[in-house]
Amino acid sequence: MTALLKHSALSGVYRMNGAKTTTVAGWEIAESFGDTSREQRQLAEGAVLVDWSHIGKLALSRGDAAAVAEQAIPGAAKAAVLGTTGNQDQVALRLTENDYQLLCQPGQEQALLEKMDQAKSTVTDSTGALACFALGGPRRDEVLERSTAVDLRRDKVVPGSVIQLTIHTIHCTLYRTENLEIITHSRTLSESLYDGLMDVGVGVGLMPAGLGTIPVSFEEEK
Amino acid sequence: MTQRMWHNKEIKDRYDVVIIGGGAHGLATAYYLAVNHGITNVAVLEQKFIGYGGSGRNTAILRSNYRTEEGIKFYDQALKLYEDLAQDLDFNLMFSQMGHFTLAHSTASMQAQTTRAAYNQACGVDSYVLEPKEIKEMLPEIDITDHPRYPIHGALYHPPGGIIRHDAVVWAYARACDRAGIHIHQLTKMEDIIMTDGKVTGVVTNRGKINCGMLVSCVAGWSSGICEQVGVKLALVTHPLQALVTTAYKPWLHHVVVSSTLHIYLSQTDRGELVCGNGIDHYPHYGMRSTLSFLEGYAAHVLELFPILHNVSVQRAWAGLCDMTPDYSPIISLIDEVQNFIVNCGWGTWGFKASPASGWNTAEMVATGRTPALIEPFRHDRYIKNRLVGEKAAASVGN
Amino acid sequence: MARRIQAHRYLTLPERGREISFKYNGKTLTGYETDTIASALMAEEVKITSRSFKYHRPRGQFDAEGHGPEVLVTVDDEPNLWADLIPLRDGMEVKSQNTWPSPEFDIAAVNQVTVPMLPNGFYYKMFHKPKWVWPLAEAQIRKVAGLGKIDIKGRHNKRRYEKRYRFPDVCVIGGGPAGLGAALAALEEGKQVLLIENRAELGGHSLFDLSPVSGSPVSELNGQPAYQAVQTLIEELADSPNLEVMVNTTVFALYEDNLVAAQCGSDMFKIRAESVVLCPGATDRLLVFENNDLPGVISARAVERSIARHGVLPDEDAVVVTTHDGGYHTAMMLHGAGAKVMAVVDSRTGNTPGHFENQAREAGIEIHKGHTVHRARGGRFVTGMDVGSPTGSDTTRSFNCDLLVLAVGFKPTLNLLSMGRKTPVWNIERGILQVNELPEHIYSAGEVHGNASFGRLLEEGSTAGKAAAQGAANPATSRTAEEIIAALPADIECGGKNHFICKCMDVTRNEAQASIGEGYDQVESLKRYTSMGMGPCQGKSCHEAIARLAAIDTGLSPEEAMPTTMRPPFMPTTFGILAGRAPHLGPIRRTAMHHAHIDRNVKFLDAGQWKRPEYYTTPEEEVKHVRTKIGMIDVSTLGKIELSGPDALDFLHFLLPGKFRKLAVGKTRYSMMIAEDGILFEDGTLSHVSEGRYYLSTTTGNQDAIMSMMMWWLTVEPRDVQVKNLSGANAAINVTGSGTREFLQPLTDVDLSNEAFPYMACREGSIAGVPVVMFRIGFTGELGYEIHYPAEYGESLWNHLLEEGKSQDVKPFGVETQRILRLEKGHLIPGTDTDALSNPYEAGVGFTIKDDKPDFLGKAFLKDFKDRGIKNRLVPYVLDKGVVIPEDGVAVIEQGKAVGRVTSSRTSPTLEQGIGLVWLPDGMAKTNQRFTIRNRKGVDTNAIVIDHASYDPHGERLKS
Repeated sequence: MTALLKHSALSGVYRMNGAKTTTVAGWEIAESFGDTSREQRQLAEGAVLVDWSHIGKLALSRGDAAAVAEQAIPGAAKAAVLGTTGNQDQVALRLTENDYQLLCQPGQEQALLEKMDQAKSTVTDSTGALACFALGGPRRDEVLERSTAVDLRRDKVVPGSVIQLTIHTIHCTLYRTENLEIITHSRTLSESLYDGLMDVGVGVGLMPAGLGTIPVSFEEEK
Repeated sequence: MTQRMWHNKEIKDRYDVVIIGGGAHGLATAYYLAVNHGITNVAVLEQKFIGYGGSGRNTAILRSNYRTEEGIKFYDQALKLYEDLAQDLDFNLMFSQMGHFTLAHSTASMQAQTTRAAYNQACGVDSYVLEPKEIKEMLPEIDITDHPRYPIHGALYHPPGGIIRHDAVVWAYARACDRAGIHIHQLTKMEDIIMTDGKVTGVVTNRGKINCGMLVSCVAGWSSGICEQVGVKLALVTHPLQALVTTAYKPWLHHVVVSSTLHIYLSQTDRGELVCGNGIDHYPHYGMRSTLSFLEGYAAHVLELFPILHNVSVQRAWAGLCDMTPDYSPIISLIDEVQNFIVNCGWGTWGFKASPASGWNTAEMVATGRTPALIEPFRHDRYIKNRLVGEKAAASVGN
Repeated sequence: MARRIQAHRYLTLPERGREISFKYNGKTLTGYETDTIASALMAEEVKITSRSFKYHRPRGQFDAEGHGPEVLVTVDDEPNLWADLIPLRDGMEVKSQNTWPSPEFDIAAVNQVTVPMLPNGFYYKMFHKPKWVWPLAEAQIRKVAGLGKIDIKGRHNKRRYEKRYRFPDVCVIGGGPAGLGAALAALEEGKQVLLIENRAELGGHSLFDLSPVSGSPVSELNGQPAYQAVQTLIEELADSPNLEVMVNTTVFALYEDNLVAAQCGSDMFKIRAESVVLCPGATDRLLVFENNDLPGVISARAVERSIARHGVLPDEDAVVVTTHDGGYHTAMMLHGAGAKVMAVVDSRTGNTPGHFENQAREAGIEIHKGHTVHRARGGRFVTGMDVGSPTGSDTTRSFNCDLLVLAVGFKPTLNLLSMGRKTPVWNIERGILQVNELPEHIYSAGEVHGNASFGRLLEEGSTAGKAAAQGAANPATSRTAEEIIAALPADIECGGKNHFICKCMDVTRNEAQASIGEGYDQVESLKRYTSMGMGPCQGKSCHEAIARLAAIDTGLSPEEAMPTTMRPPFMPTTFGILAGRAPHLGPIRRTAMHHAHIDRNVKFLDAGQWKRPEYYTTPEEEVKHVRTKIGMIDVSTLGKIELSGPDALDFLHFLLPGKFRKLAVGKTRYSMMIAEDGILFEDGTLSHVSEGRYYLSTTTGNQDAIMSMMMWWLTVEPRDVQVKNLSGANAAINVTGSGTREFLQPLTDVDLSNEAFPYMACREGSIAGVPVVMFRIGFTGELGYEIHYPAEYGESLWNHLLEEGKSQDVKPFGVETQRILRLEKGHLIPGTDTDALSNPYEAGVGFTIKDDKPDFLGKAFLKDFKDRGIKNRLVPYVLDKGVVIPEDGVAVIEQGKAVGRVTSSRTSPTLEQGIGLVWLPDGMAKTNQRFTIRNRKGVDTNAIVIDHASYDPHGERLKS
């Protein structure tokens, strides 16, 4: 028997848009929406939204979250609140003094979980509970400007920081890198968030793209 | 030569009854004291001008289609008094019994409306449930498709419900009080209550001391503070409720439309303005400012019902105070611990429509010292004894 | 006659731009791209632009500020817009309002004769006796009420509304000299600046100011005329990278924490600024005299703007009424445009002539000192005027003019400064309204503090802008009383009855005085009684006049006579703008199987934010299928909370009314939840999944509330508990029907035999390689397993089960089907069968309450309910076969009274008869008791209380 596939909350969107999918760590995820070169052009000139829902996501809260996060991702305990630490494969987002979100390459979440002493903090594997979008392209700020009441100017929310906010009334965690906005949010609301972003993104040419355009990496290409 | 509506009179040293609060409840109480009980040595004290508070800040909706028998009977007395009030007081109150819709957007809400209709009918109140297509026949502009986020499942319709010129109710009562010899003192702020041996004997105001036989507090949103002065803690939380009017348009809406799911009250006045009310703000507050989020929320919601209103503009927004009780029912009560003191409050979002019945029964309580049967359920001590009125069960009902 | 002018003696006219054609009341007219609708109409000699609200008096353009009601028009089916603010666009269709057949010839103008014959406040004094008159009268009133028409045929709007956001360091509102000064200063401090102007161009009134600039802090401007100096300034700003300029943008409100709400086209901007500088300027005062509302009575700045910006001369023969040198400026503007200025009427005597007074004298314009206007004459528009002494006592002169220009000083535009927070006060010494104190980080500058020279305004703006950039205290205005233009000695009382105070609501001074005489001597009551100040301008035109005149007429001091709070919005703002792209109330929540349901032609049901399958075929068919074969329902929306840690059991004992110490690993139990007030609000199951690890499932609607409640209590009384909300992490399916065991067993490693996995047990294992927790519970009344598993497998496992179950005819069913199935079993649903007053004893689930344990949520109130005894009961019933099924919510009628209510009512496809749950008085809630249900149509039906569930009363199928 072939193993069952894991699906993103956007699986319906994939189908409606004729996405070409690939399998990563058991997940069926979009490689492209038909034309990778066009997506890449859009990434260079406009804005693209890439579904990264398959990345590993762990939530830590209460207890000694910092110490437990440190076990998984060295340096996590030293991260400033609303700051981050990590490398291209994994990153610790410090949401509050005592709340963390850890993101990692697809399929790596189990390895991280095993490094942690789960008696010391409440650790929840939210890989399936949360969806994730990566928003790229020079005009992505214009999409966000129409989507949230929170000040996301680049001199206020600097690359490498994390912020919790609502985007189209949906609660999200936004991790900003030099080139991307990595937005985790409830899986159940993912299609609604997608619709909301696309709706206001029409004017700036926002389009969906696949992993072929933005592969998962938490560190900028230098 | 025009006749004066009321006169500014000298304050007397003593009145048999002092009523704090020159809104519809206070003035109605004074009026019925005079006409029903012949008690006219009465003063109504108003800190600002008559009708400043909730009486001037509501959405002017009248109805009696409540959920519980207690509520239905009480509000039905109010509605019946309102129906003849213009003639009784010889003042055109512009009561327009245009009919009142309570829209349901879920099966649960349909169930609640069905129950209300059943209880209303059993109490002789005209009220029945409509299907979406019947609503559409009466309100051709409404969107009954599945386009809205929460489509309309049906409605409770209440033909005698409607709107009235709310300020006029205050003025008409005030004029009638004045003619009956009752004193109305505006710009008179009560600053303290004088107690002797557990009895209220007078009040101190910014214009001096006044002795009284009986003190009646009809100050709605400000009740907690007044009652604290005599050591009574009320089961009240005061929340703002915001409302708005649009600029005037040629009248097209000839019914009152209410949706509790969407927090919408909507009607159109004889001047052509749409009067729009919201649910209470979530936070307790004594501020009477309006907020942008209220305007945004109301706008988004009203367009769900009436997409044609997208280019209709809001001209003024304001807020009033709602003294909310845990069971969405008022408090009209003698207080065991304090003699000669009656509290009339807890009017939340349902106060204006109760004014005549509130005044009628409060006056009877003042005159007889006993609680009339109709308002027995609204005693203050029900919160101590956990005997709440069931109106909260109709919480999906609102104004 | 109005006309376009080609040149002006004293200034260079701006380019007109492209010619544009538009429609007005069906007629095609032309204008230019620099026109507003109003200026184009003026050039096309449309003198009467509307009819007034009550009397249908002719009204024409007055102040060109978007304040007065005179120029309200419908543009492309959008009613109630200000023609003097809207730039002209090609092909726009403009229609006049509240008039028929046209503003020039309006049938309802008969009101001018009939209405004033009625007593003051007649609408409160007529039509109510006898009682039947009012509905008839009202119907007639409603036929003629209102202004513009809503396009009730237009269904969904075609405009695309958006909400946008800005976060400048300094937001400057108003692009006149003070605003420009503020923006420049803030930019110099290195700040990000947003400059907002409600017209198409920056510059404000300086654009038509002929005064030579002196004393400007920017020296290069000195010596230039102001209208050129301001252009220099604008050019200087143009390339600043830190500046964003928004023109044609109306700030309609200012709220706490410097939230500025503005509209630009179809976009609403919500601006949060560190500091806000308000430079809203001032507008011409309204003077109250006989016929002051006639078309042709026009404000000075409207005339100046029309000539200098649009190249339109409003009319030929003009008289300027003034109290300051500005009136002479207006006269020179008219003179330079080629108009005949018949006279300047100046109420002052013996002053030192100002710059423009001297110019006017040189130009040979007739000047009457110590005089003012007594009345305007004319029927449909001004044809003449009388002047005389400022006391109104003796009329000395008449002019046959067609333009009566009012230059009687300025009233500051205080709305944004006040905004419902700071009440304006009357400064007796300076004769103006002012807002004395602003909240922190809000600054003001410019003409809002009183009229001043260009240099002075620029400097004041600059000072405020610098303070705003630095977050310093608000610099106090340095204006002195002498600098303020005095008001007229009084508004002129010399007979007549058409002295309009409020043009929106058509309120005259006579009416106000009569109302005061009736006892409305508090300005607030007066305002409500007469409606003055409550029309579309919301007092922007009349606020000051009301204050001024109410003080005189009531005898109150000017401070006490202040009219009410100025409330937002400052400019009427449409629902479309306010709503933005928010076509729905909240986002849609979808389960992981959402699209699999769509593939099967599901009908969805809204459950809060969720879309849940209501049914796929018909509920009846699905019920029968579950009762005979195997069905599957997506129950992913259930709340799923995992609790572990040393205090988990203790915490559960506090939260829930039951006892769970004996709940062994692998066991599941039903549990109610009771609110603090003793009300039953939730049921769910609690399972002991593995040693010390508990799994609570909650209903769809309550999951957030319960999670919050847990967090609240863990904060109030800290316990060592790990609470994980797995609601989103797990999908869930209930597979149910008598053949379920045989169907599932080959697919899973869990032993499903009745012995190994009995009713009310739970097991961990896997299905098709997917890790699962299975609960053997039976809401439907059949053998069933609720399978919880990771959401990312939601779709795959659902499809897998349906695929594997094909041969056994496994089919999905929906929520409505489930509701019938549970009703056949008599299970209640909190919130459906109970309400905010239902206690668990009366609801028949008192057995779940273990009140012999120490304190738990709701215990005190539960005791009270228990002591009070049962008043009503929730019981199951059946109807006779073939009877029409009543609707949910209908009442039980006993001797004409409503004594109970039906909460759930359905046809049971299994039993083929009506079943349901009903609240009955205790005395009636007895097995086999007959009672009467009255349905919505008023038809009575007999029902019988039954003892147990109507289906499988002993639960044999459930436990098999």
